[in-house]
Amino acid sequence: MKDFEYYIDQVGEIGVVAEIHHSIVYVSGLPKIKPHEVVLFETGEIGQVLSIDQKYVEILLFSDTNVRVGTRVCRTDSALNIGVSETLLGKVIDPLGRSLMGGAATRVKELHPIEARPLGITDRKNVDSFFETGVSLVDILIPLGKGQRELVIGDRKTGKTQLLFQIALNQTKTGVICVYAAIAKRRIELRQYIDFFSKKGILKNMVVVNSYSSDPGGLIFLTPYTAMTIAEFFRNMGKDVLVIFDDMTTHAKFYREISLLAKRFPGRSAYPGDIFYIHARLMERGGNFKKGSITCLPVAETVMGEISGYIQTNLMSMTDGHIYFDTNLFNQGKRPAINPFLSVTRVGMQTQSVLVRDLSRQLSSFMINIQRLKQFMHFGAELTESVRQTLALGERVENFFQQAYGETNPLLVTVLIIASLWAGHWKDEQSEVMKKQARAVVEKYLTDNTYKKEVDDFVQKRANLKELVSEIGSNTQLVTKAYRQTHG
Amino acid sequence: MYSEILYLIKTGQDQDEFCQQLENLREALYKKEGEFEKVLETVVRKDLAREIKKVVSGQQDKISFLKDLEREIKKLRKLSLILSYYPSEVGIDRISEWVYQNISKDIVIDISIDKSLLGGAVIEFEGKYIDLSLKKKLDEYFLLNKQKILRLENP
Repeated sequence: MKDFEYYIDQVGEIGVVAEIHHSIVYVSGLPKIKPHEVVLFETGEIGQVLSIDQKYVEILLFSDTNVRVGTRVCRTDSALNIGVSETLLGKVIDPLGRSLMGGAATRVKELHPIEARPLGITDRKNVDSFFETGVSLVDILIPLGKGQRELVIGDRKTGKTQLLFQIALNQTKTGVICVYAAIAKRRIELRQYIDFFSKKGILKNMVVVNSYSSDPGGLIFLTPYTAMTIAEFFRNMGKDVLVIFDDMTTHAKFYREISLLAKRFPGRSAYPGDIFYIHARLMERGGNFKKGSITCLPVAETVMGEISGYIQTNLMSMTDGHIYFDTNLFNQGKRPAINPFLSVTRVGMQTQSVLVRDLSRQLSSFMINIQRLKQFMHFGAELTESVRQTLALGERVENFFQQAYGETNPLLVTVLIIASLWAGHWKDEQSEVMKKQARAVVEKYLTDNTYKKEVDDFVQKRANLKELVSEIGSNTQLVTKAYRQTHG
Repeated sequence: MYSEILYLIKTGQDQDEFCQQLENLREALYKKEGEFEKVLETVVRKDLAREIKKVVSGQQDKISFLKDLEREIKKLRKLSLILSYYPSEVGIDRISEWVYQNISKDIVIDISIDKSLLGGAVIEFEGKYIDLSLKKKLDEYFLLNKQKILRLENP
């Protein structure tokens, strides 16, 4: 951005600050100003036009330094743009594209508008590629596809951000670019995130767009739009991109603050009437396109598990499903604390292979049966042998789905292990022993390329679950050799 | 009715001064007998007082007249002029007269000083801005002839 004198010379119009209400400034003058145009104050602050009146122009400030009444303002005759380039990878920037981690300024290839129209139908295609998260529970029961918008919803401190980092970790290894929009976070949290990304070596495939909770409302408001603009840049280069918005309920709160300061009429829960549009126009920019894909994972925080809140239901209706983090499961020690019965995926199933879809369906109905049986147990009735075996199998499956933070379970080895459980492989073992041995199988798969190829070939050749289970039943060495070698 | 009074207002300062004096006159109307005339003689500017006397003598409702006059004065639009020196009274009159004849009769001039302009003026009016200062002309000249000037320094 050039300086004040340049723009005043170029455009030839000037305004004067008449009123200030926190981050909303009313300016007189500027006769030919356009909506959403960027303005520059003579003290260096930047703002964007919110609305235009006969007497005043309403401007949203993007900085927290105090503007005074009487300060002169000029037009820039341009919309809000940010510089995008491959050199953004590995950087932590603010919503205006300025680096937050010091160092040299990012060299910019192109300027892209933060507000862009989503691509139309002709540029899109069906969600047809599987999006592997590395979390078994999600990959089997709540599968995601590349280009899907999946909401991650739950109470605070239930492990939502851990899941997102797990997904980012898994995806960046496969060449997917990850853009993380940290909306109104504390400085210590940003430090923790950056340390995690750096330690895991994935920061070089990521762009972090951060706004602090102490930043002005206007700047916080821009955060997810900047992240989406950067994602679109990489998508246009033919890459698959993952965008995480953490979190959208905070974004809604700050937009509510801005709207109330701008004297907009309050609607439900004092949110402005266009709160749905604010989020929907962002989500619509994600999807699966002919050039690449943008997979969106917006986060929504609930209070006391209340998923029927205003913003939460808005976000659920504009996304392709949601992953629900249950506080009760979290308190029971389950990690991840995802409730598969209250989670939904609308387009993920079509990306699964026939075998995995078969497994997913059978496993879902099995787990529902387990829940019913557990409820039945409360009556203290005597259990038959088959019921006991079913419950034992259910316990092993649930135990397997417990995954520590940082552990990755690739899809095919997950299928192998579950099919092995189905075949009765660990039926005589303690649940903890089964868990350890299953972990050993995963570790071998991750570290031994020969074993990985063997497992992949074995699983992918089977047409359905029945065939896979029967083959495993007669060929247990594929599984046993992994943990026998480790444990002797 | 107000045109002669409005003609007396040349600058933004005059505008504020006149509004203040009209307010004093209005307050005086609510005080004891003769206070209005006393304020007109002692507080109000001579030229304004003369014009007001002419008009007020035929008026029944002085309060409404003063209110309307104040409203008309506040409607005057401001043209901001940034100069490198403060012009004399004659200079201000000449500028004001030119604006009155060539632009509009309802404009007053707001003069401010910025010595860095060196000469010329910067004009701001209703959000429009034009820089006709000597400083800008010199900047443009130096930019255009940058290479020539650098060669003078290092022949």
